[in-house]
Amino acid sequence: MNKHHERTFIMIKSDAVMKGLIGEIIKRFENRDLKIIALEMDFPTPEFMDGHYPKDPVWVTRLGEKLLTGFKKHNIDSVKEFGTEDPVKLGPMVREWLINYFTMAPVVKMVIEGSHAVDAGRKIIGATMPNMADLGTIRGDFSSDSSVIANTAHRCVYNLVHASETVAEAEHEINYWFGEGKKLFSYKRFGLDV
Amino acid sequence: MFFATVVQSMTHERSLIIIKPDAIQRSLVGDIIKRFEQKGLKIIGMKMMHLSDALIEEHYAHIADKPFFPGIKKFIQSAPAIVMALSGINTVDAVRTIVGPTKGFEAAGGTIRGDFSMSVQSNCVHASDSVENAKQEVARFFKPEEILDYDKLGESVVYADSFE
Repeated sequence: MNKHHERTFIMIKSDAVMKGLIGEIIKRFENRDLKIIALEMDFPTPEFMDGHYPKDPVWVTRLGEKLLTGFKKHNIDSVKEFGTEDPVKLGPMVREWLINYFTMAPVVKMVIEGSHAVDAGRKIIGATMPNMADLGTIRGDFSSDSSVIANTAHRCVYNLVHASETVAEAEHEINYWFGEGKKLFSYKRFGLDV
Repeated sequence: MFFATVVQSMTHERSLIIIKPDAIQRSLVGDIIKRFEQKGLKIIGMKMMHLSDALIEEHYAHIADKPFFPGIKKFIQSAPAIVMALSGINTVDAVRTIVGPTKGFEAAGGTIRGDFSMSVQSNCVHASDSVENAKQEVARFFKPEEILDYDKLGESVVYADSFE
């Protein structure tokens, strides 16, 4: 095991499950010599998702600000859409959209390990906005959703998959989603360990 | 009249799949899951797990007294497995067609075993062999709350008129 051996938290989100992309997504991590050491299909409750997202007003307001930035770029009037252009009021609405996204169908949560697993995970999934994601990434290959399309449909962006951004975030997310002290599997993989 | 008969023969079923250690160690998980999804089947439960002695002895009760059973047990515990519950119309038969016959070296190309296995024991997957066994096997590997109900996109198109 090298010092860059890491674990990351990957989640196949509800839209990917509904579209039948579970196998395709898992395959891409396997192809890159990463190893699945935990996997469960799970249907998050609204209460669980409420605990997942920060309640800090600054964080919530930033969600509203992001929405307004996108609207400005595309000349969409937030007052006409939502009756307000106050990020403090828009933030909680966006937070609710995120919760709805994760509770409309099950998700598949995984712990993936291998060399540079965190960075590799981010590379494999691609840029946050599917319309800007490179071809060859999961988001670039399987979605063309964008913030403007999503927000004018009064929902958040559906971007198929989540991958932790840092080792610390991965550890936190693994604990939140699998429970503290969850036993992760250990086994040999051909081509990698055998 | 003929059409009505056909419709009546179509039943909602479940099937239990075990992605065995050989497939997991050979990085075939995504490939195998993809084949069931692209057929139109719905995954309603899935988890990676270590198969305990008790679970294996119950699942393989029909061969538990055979001389080769200890070897099978050792193999199936050599790495974790992924168990999966599939749902759809006439699922048991559809799954068996995709999986192919037991002996990997005899299985037709295009099936999971035909494409990925040369062995009888390391034949990538287990699939329920009857509707009755499927019910027992799903209950054996999943708690009721681990079976998840949702609408997969395109189901009405996959099953056309037969879907109710």
